[in-house]
Amino acid sequence: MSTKDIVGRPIVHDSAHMHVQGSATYIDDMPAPEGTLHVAFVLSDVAHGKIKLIDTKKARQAHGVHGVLLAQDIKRLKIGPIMHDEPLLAQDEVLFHGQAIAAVLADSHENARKAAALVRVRIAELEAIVTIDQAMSKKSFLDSPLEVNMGDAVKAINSATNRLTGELIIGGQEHYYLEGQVALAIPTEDNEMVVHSSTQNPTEVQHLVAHVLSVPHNAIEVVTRRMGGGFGGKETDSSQLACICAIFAQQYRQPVRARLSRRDDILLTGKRHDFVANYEVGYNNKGQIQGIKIDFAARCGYSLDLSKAIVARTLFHADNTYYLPNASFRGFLCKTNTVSNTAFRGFGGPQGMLAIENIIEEIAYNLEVDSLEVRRVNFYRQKTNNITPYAQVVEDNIINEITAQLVDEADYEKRRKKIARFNQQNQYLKKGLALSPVKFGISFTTSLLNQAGALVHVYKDGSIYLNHGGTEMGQGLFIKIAQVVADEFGVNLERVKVSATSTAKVPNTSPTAASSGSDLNGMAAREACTRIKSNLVAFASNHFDIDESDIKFLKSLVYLGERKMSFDDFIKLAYLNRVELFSNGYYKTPKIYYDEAKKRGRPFYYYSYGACVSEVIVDCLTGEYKLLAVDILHDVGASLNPAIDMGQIVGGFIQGMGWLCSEELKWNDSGVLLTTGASTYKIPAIGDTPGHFNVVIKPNISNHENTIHKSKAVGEPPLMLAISTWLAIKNAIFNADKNNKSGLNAPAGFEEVFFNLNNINR
Amino acid sequence: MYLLLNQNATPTELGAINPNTTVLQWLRNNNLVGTKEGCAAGDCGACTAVVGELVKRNNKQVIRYKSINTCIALANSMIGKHLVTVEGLAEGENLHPVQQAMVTENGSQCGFCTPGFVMSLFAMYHNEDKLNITKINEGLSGNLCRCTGYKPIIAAAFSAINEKANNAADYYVKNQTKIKQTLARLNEDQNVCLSYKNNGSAIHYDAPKSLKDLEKVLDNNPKAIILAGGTDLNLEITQSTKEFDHIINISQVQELNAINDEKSKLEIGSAVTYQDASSSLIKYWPELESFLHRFASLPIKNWATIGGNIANASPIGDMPPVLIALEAKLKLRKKSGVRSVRLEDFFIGYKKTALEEGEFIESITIPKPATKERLITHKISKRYEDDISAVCMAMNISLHDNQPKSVRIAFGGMSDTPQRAEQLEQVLLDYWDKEELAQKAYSALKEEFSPFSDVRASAEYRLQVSANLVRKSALEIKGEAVANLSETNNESFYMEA
Repeated sequence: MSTKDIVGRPIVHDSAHMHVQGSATYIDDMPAPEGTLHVAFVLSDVAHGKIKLIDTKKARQAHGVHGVLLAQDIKRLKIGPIMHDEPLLAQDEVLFHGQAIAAVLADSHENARKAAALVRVRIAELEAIVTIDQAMSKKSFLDSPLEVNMGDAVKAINSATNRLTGELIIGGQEHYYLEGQVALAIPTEDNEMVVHSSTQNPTEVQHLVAHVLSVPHNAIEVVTRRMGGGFGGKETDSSQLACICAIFAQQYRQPVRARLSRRDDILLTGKRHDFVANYEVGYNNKGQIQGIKIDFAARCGYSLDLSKAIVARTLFHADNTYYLPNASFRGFLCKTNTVSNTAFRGFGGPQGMLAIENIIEEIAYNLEVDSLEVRRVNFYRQKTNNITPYAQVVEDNIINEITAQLVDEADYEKRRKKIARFNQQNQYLKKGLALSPVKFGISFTTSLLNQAGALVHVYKDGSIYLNHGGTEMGQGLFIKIAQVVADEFGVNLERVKVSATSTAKVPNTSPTAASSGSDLNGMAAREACTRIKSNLVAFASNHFDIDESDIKFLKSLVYLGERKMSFDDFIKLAYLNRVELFSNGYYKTPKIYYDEAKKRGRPFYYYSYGACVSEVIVDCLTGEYKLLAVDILHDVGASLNPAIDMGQIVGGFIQGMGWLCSEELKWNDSGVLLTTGASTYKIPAIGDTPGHFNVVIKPNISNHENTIHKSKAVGEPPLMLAISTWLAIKNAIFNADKNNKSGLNAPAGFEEVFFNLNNINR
Repeated sequence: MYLLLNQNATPTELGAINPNTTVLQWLRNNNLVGTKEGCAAGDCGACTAVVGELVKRNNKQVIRYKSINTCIALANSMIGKHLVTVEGLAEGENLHPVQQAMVTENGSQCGFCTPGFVMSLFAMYHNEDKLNITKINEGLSGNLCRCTGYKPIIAAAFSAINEKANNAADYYVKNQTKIKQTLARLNEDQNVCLSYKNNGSAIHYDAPKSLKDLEKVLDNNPKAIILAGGTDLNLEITQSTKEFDHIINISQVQELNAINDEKSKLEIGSAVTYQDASSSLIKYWPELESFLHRFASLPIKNWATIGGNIANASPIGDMPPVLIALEAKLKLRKKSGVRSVRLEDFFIGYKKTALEEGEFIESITIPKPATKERLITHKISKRYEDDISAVCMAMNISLHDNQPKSVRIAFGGMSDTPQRAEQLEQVLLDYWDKEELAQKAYSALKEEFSPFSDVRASAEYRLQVSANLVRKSALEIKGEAVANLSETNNESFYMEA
C-alpha cells in the first residue's frame, strides 16, 4: 500500500526544529530532580601498576562532598558486554592510563570534580605493554587468533609471477561525539530505578545495572531519548557511568547524575582499534591477486569488550570488492595496557578494507598501471568469481556497475591525464587521484543480535504512538521508522509520535549498531502495524459487510467499499466496537548463519556498495595537503529517506577522512595517552570540506533481499569511501617520486606525508 | 550587576556568583540549557553564543554582535552586554532565518553542536550581507560537527544569509534602538568591583574602566590575576578545576582598547581583540589576512587580545613570532612608571616574562613597513582551521632588486619561548640564490633551537619543515610555483590543471 507519499521522501529529521532552538533535551539538560547528586572520577595517571594507597580523606572533607566509592565498596565489581572482565573501579591493580580508581559524589558537577582532584593515589608502576609490537612479541593476547581461509594462499603466493610484502600501520580513532557520556539514575520505590543513559544499548545498560545492584532486570528501566552522537562509542562504553550512578543512587536513595568532562571521556572510553597489517601477496602481470596472506594485529586494550567481533569483521572485509581465491587472513587480539578499544562506525571493517586497498595500490605502482585497472581485474563478478574467503556467495554484486558509472560521472580518465600534466609542470606541488570501492556486509556477525521488537499504539483520536528498540543518535532512525508506520496506516507523518527508547516498552533489544537500526526496527514496526491493521480490517469487513480487499488506508482516509471516512473517525468507531488498537511487532533477519568451527557461512544478509573518487594536492615542501574534489556514488537500495541517507553518506565520508588524515591518537612510551582534548586531537573542521563535493545516491535500485521497503543500511558503509582520500595522498607521493616506496601509514597527517616525501626534500 | 539577555525587555541580574563562573555555567544553572558543553576549552563551539556590545562606528554608537565561546568566558564579563543564546532567536513560533535554513538544509543530525552553529550563523547574519566560502569558513571556523560533514551547514549558511534581503528584520534589528538605550544605561556604571563569599574566604573581581583605576587596583592587589579575554587563562578553571581568588579584568579599560595609527608606527592597546585589530594589521601587512584566518577560530579572535597572547608567554602563540619579526615594542606600565621593552626581550623562559609584580602591558607598538619590506608568515598545524601551531614562522624581509638586504625571522613552537633566529637570518642572506639554502637553514636551526617532540609534531619534523619554510619563502619571493594550500581556493586548483 506504499504510496511514496511518505516512504522514500526527503523528510527532515524529526527533531530538527528542536535542535536549532536548543530545545531538544539531552540528559544533562533534563531538570535535575530535587536533591540530585553528581559524580566525578579519579583516574589512573599510569598505564600499569599496583595500587599502594588511596587516600580519600581530603576529598571527603571537601565542600559539597557526600561520599567516595572505591572498588572494595562494590559487591559485583565487574561488568562487560561479552565477558565480565572490566572492573567498574580498579581494584589492587590499574591496567591502563585513565582507568577509574575512585568515584566521588558531590552536590554539583564542579564540586565533584574539584574533590576528585584531592584524592591521593599512590601506584607502584609496573612495566606496561603499550604497543601492538610489544604485545605480539610478548604473546599478550585476549583470545586465540581468528582466521578466515580460502584455497591455499601460501602455495598461490609462491607460484605467482610477482610478489609483494609489506606492513601497514593503521591508527585508531576517538569517537569525539559532541555530547560526552552521561547518565542519570533516579531511585523510585521498592528497589526500582529509572536510568536515563546516553547509550546505543539501553538493554545492556539495564542488564548491567541490574547485575551490579543485584536486582532482577524488571526492577530497572533504562530510557534513552536521544544521544548527541554515538558512532559506536556508546554501544558498550555507556554502562560504566550508568552503573556507578546506580550504585550511588541505591546507596544514598537520591538521584545521581554523571557526565564526563571531555578529557575524562577520552581517557576512560575505548576508541577504534589501531592495527598493524603484515601482508604477502602474489599476483600476475595483469595485477590479478592469486594468493594473499594478511596478518592483522589489533590493539584491543586491557579487556575483551567487543574486540573479537570487531576483528572478525576486519577479516570479513579484507576482501572488500575483490575475488581472492587463495586467501589467508588472521586476526590477533593484542592485550595491552591501554583503554579497551570498542565499536566505532565500521566495526573493524574499515581496517580490513584499508589493508586490501593499500595492496591494490601498491600492485598498480609496481606494474606501472593505473590502480583502477588493478581494481577492475580483481572485482567480484556476477556468476563466477563470486565467493568470499568465508564462503558467502556474493549474490547482489553491483560494484562493476557503480564503478563504471562513477568513472563516467567524475570524469576520471580525463582528470587522470590532467593531473599527470599538472605534476609534470610542478616541482613543489603534486596531485594525486584515486577511486576506491566499498562493499560492506550488513547484519550483526553475532547472529542472535539480528532481532528486534516494536510497539505501536493507536489512540482513540487516531494519533499513533510508536516505540521500538532502536535508539536515536542523530542518524535519523526515528523519522525513518515513523515514515514506515505512517505509510502503513496511510496517515500524515504528524499523526505518528516517536517516543524515547525504553527497556520497559520493548525488552531484550539489540544495540543500535551494525547499521542495522532501520532494517531491524523498520520491519518490527511494520509487523506491529500489520497486526493492528488486520484487526481493523476484520472489524470493518464485518461491520460494513464488505470484502476485506475493499478496505484501504490512504491519505488519512479509510476506504470502505463505496464509503470512505477519516482515519480518526474510523479509529473511534473501531474503539467503540471493542477492537484492539495496539500491538507489538517482531522481526528476525532470515538466511544468516555462520559456522565458527568451519569458518564458513553467510554472516551477512546482503551487502551495501559504494565508490568514491578523491583528488588531492600535496605541498612537497611541508607535507601539507588539501582535498580538492570528491565524487561519490553510493547504494542505499530504495531509500526510505534520501535526505537522511545523504546525511549519513556525507557525514560518514568526512568522519572516515578524519580517521585517515588528521585524527591522530598519541601515547607516550609508558602508555600515557597524550591526545586528550580537542586542542590536540583534530577532527575535521569546516575548512576540510572539499570544495568540489558531489554526492549521488544510486538511483533506480532496490535491495534484492526483502528488507523494509527494499532499502539498504547506510550508517557505516560510507565511512569507508574516505579510503580513496588516503589512496589519493599515497598516489600524490608516488607521483612526486616513482621510486619512492617508503610506505604511507594511516593517519596520513602532514608530518607522515612529509617524511614519506623527505628523500626529495633533504 | 546586570546584562541584557535575549529578547527580554528588562535587564537580567547576574546574581551573586563566584567570579570563576563561566558564562556557560551561568546559563545552564539558570535553565538556559540550549547552549551545550562539548569541550569546555574553546575548541568545539557547542557553547557558542553571541554578545552584543556598544561600539563607536563613524562616530555613532552601534551595537555589534559577535560570536564567543561561553565555556571560557567569565559570566561577570557579560555585565553591561547583550547576551544572545540559542533560546533567543525564534520569535514565538517563527524560527529565525538561520534556524529555518539549518532545518531545511538538513544541517543537524544529533543536534548537539547545532545550537553553536546556529549562533555562529546568527552572528554572520548580522555582520555579512553576501557570503562566499572563505567567509563561511571564517564564520564557522570555531564550530565542530561530528555528524554532518559540514556540507549541509555550508548550504544553510549560503541560503540564510544570501536570502537576507528578502526577510523581515529580526527581533534584534527591529528593536535596536531600545537595546542600544538599555545597554547605554547599563554601561553608565563605573568600575565593577565585586566580592563573593566562598566557604569563609572571599573571591574578588574587578573590572576598572580607566588606566588610572587599573593602576590603582593593581597596586593594591599586585598578586591578582590579570585577565583580558581569558581564552587561555580560563582553561585553568575549566580544565584544571582551579579557582582564582582575585581576578582583574582589563578588557573594559578604555585606554587599553585604543588603536593609534601614527605616521611611522601602529600602536595597539593590549585589550584590543584580534578581530578588532585585524583591519589595521591587514592594512599594513596584507600577508596577515590569511595568517589571521589560521591564527584561531572566529569566536576566539572575537574575545582574545593581542596583549593576552603576549602576556601568557606561550611558546606556541602565533602572534609573538610575527611581532618579533616586525620589531614590535611593548609599553609596560605600573603605578610607579612606564617602560618600553623589545618584544624579543620580553620572553625570558617557558611561560615567563619580564613583567614585574603589579605591571601590565599597556600597548604594542609596531613600526610600519618600509616600501621594500615584505612580511611572510607560515603556520604548520595538524588542521588548517582552529588549531595550535606545530611551527609558526614569520619573516620580515627587506628586498632590493629581489635580493634580500636584511631580514628578521622568528619562530613559535621551536623553543620554550617565541624566539628570533639570528643565525638563520644570516644563512638566508648568504645562501639566498643557492641550492643548499634548505640544508644550511636546517643546520642553523639545529644550532639555534632544540625543539621538543610532542602531540603536535616531532622535533625532527619541526626542524626540517622550518628549514623548508625558509626555502619556500624564498621561492615565493622569487615567484616560483609554490602555494599555501590552507588559503588556496580549492575550486581554482581543481578546475585548473
